[in-house]
Formats: sequence, structure tokens, C-alpha cells
Amino acid sequence: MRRYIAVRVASLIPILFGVSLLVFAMQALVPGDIVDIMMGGDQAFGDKNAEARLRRQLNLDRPVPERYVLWLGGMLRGDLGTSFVSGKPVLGEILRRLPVNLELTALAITMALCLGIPIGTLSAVRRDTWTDAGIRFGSVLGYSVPNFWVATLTVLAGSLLWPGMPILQYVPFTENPGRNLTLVLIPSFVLSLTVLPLIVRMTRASVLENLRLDYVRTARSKGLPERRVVYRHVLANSLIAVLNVTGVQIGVLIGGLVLTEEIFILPGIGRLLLDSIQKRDFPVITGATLFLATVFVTMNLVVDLLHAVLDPRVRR
Amino acid sequence: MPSSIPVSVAEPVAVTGVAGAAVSATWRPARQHWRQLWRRKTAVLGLMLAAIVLLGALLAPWLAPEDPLAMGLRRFAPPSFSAWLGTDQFGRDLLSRLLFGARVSIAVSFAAVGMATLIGGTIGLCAGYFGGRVDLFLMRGVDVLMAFPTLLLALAVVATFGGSTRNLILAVTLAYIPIFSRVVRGSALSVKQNDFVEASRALGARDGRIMLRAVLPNVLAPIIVQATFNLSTAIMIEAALSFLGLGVQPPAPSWGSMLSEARNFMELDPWLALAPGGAITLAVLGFNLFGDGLRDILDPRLAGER
Repeated sequence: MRRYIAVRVASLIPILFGVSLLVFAMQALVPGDIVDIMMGGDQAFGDKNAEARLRRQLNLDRPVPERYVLWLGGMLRGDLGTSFVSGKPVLGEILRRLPVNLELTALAITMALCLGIPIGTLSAVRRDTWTDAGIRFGSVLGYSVPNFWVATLTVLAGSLLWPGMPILQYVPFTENPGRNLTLVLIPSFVLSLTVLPLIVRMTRASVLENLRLDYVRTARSKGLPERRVVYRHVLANSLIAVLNVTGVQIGVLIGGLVLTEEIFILPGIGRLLLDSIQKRDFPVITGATLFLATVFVTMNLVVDLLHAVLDPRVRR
Repeated sequence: MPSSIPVSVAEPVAVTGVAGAAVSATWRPARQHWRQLWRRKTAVLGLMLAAIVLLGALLAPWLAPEDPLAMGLRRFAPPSFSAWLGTDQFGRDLLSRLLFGARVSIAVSFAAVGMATLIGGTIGLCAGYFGGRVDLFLMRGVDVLMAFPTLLLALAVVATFGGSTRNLILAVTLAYIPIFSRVVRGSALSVKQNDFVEASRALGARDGRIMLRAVLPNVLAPIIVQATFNLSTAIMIEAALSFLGLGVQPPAPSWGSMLSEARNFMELDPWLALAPGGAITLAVLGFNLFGDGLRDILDPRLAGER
């Protein structure tokens, strides 16, 4: 087991190296001169000396490979650069917004699992009935409705139901838990709808698959009530597959966060990324992209390792 | 080299024989597949929805009652006989804008899925067929692309190069290359084990020929299924990016940007928010249902859920 973990963790290194190369290449490929973009609104625009100073500061006077090494060195030390706009370190800006994302994601995953596993199990147990057909069609439909539309309509419903409601300012959980939850619960629920249909489908599929296996027949023939067979034996074994699909869906959640934060006006990393794209604040764009990709691969690794802990067949 | 002459004579005969068998294995029951598909009500519904969206996109200039950019005096008009879905904040006909918006969605999704299938398929075919170092090298690259959540990768591309239809296509293509590479590689690995591949190699066919005429026809089914599903998600990504203001730029109509603009006026006129979102849902649902049906028929191994 320890060996398996070591191998898997080591396999992250080349991937993260490739990710850094790709993100850097994109930054280097930005059309136009980054100095012009930065000095666009500045009064020093056109001042050759100021431009040259900036170029030296950003290492733009050096060859590209050298710039990459310097940039990567900074990344490894936790220096993601400095925002063009605010002048603050990028990592600090990201970490300041991280709690919003953690809260939204944790709530969304919890809600999706709490709803999805019972619904999926129900669908499997009632196979080929109207309940099953309804749940299956509902999950295809849920998978096809754009989440940002649902979010937009939720906001619309809110403003039609409570006209004149002031736009609430975000409050951190640590400051005022009650107020924070009233702000975050609905967006989290909407976000959970992005992953709910797949969790339902996966639960259904894997419960059905397990119901066909020999151990179920054994359990039934030794006289266990059906309820106990399903909930104790089948469900426990089906959850491994559900765990896996949840891991894959983390990417969908990260993408969904950008839209959710934009629509519900929550100050998370997604909005930071969008704002910086609008302002062409490239250090923040690259920093946030790199950060989110790293979180994504790390979470996938954690899910894989959990899978290995739960299912010894995976460890070879 | 004494063996070169018989080999070059034997090659075309042997390979067409092998490829012929492989092709017919996939395509001879096409009519039977069609009948199977026709029996699945949800798949037929999906096909119909997809066909409506496709026809709407193709025939938009002839179907649309108005110019989608022409502004009118009747703003926020409710649905009526003169404007079936009403008009927007500039008095533009909503139905006409939806029809022209379908063109953007369809163009981006088909172009991106087509390119990703070609590039990703080639990568996957080479990786699966050659194996070894080629496989390791190609799949490492694919892993790097897989390290980005799909929407994040697309966002990064559009953020770097700017929002336009061309860059949208580029963004979605890049995000989908790893998916197709993985699907094709997996199938190619298992197809490679078959005797007919060994046979055509023994008869002297070169790698390129074996890949194109023996392996490729047998990995087509998963490619087609995957492409159908990805058409639906590509429509979603295009709409999301346009919604965020990073795709097709206004005033050109696209479903995502129409929904985004509607956010400022939707209390006044909920139709503006309902119509574009409904259009996206129907299009995505169509390709999803059709894809489900295709998967059940063409690729029973993947249909674990039934």
C-alpha cells in the first residue's frame, strides 16, 4: 500500500511539470506586447525608460527558456507573481478567496451525495417501473439543463418573490455563520445539480450490477430481509463506484464554480479569474489557472488513493 | 531482398480482404441498427430534437421572420402573432435571434468535435497501436491536458487569445483532444489483439495500412458514440463562455450571450431569460438522448447502465 501511494504521488510530478509548461506557454503566446497592455492607461505610456524598467522587472529582456526557469522557480517557492492591477501577490489573493470555494464545493458535494445515492438506489430497486423511468429521464434532463440557466432563473425567482430585496454583501462563515449560510446554501444547491444526475446514474448502475452478484444470492438465501440485503450489502459495495464518479466530477464542479460565483456574486477564485480576464491581469490569470489545475489533479489523486484503501483489488 | 516482390503483390489483396471483413462487421448491420434505434422512443425523440436544432441553424436565413440585428420600436413585446417569442430590449425579434444563435452553437460544436476527433483520434490510434514509448510519450501529453477541468482549459485559451468564434472552436478542441485520445487508445488496444490484425501484418501490410484499414473501422463505434455526447457538451461550453462574455461578441446573437444580456431585464420580461436557456436545454438534451440510444446499440460494452 505504501508503495502504491508513493508511485501514485510520484506520477503527479511529470503532469504538474507539463501543466506549468502549458500555462507558461499560453502566457508567452499572448498576442501583443504585455508591457503595452500593462501601461495602456498609465501616464508613463510611451516613456521608453519606464518601459525598459518594467521589461527588466518582468524578466522580459531575457530569452524565453530562462524566463520559464525563473518563473517556475518562483512558483515552487510559492511566489505566483504580482497582480498588475492591485499590485498584491497573486497567491495571497487566491488564498483569501479559497474559503468561499471550499465551502461551496463541500456543501454542493454533500448535497449531491445525500440526494443522489437514495434516488439512484430507489431507481435500481424499482427497476423498470414508472418511478425508475421518471428518475432516469429526470437525470438525463438534469444533465442537459445548463447550470448557469438554472442559477439565473433562481436569481430571477428570488427577485420576483421578494421584490426590492437588497443585494446581500458576502459575509465569511467565521464572522456570521447564520448570515453566511443563508447566502451560500442556495448557490451550493444549484451547484450540486451539476453533479447530481451522474451520481444518480452511477448509483443505479452499480446497485444493479451488484444485485446480480453471487453474494446477494447468498445473503438472500440465508434469509436476510431484502431491505438489509440492499442497504447493508449492496449499497456498501456500490459506493466505491460512486466515489470514483464523484472524483471525476470535481472538474465539473470547479468549472461550475466560475459560473455560480459570477451569477450569485460570491467572491471566490472563479470571480477572481473572471475579473482578471476582463482586466487582462495575466499574472492572476496564470496563477489562478495553475492553482485550480493543481487542486484538480490533487483531488483526483486523493480519490484514487481512497479507492485503493476501500478496494484492495485496485492495489497491484 | 527476395521477399519484397511477393509481399508487394500480396499486400493489396490481403489488406482489402481484411479491411473488407472489418468494415462489414461494423456497417453491414447498419439497417438493422437503424431499426433498433427506431424502437427506442427516447433515442427517436433525441434525434428529432437534434434535427430541429440542425435544421434551424442551417435554414436560419430563410426561416427567421426578421433580421436578428434589426432593432425595432416595440421593445420587450410579449409573444404575439407578429413576433412569436416577443422582442428584446432593442426591439429585436427573439425567435430570429434564437435561430441565428443556433448557427453559432452548431458551428462551434461541430467544428470543435470534428477537429478533436481527428487530432485526438490520431493520437489515440498511434498510442494504442504502437504502444511502448510512443504510447508513453503521447499519453503523458494527454494527461497534462486532462489535468485541467474542461471549462477551465477553454477559459484559459479564450482569456489568452481573446473571444471570437475561431478561438471558441480552438478552446473546445483543445479541451476535447484528451477525451478522444483516451477512448480511441483504449479501443485500439483491444482491437490490436485480434487475429485479423496479426494476419494482415503477416501478409506484409505496413503499419499505416493496418491502422487505417483494420484497426480504424473497428474503433469507429466508440468514436461515433463519444462524438455525439461531446456535441452536446460542446454546445454547453460554447454557451457558458458566451454567457461569461468571452465567446461570440454582441450584437451577434448566441444563446449564451442572449441569456447573459437578459439578466439585466429579466424581472421586466422573463421570456428573455427563458427562451435562450430553453433552446440550449433542448439542443443538449437532443444530442444526449440520441447518444444514449447510439451507445446502447453500437457499443453494448459501454451500456453498463441498462
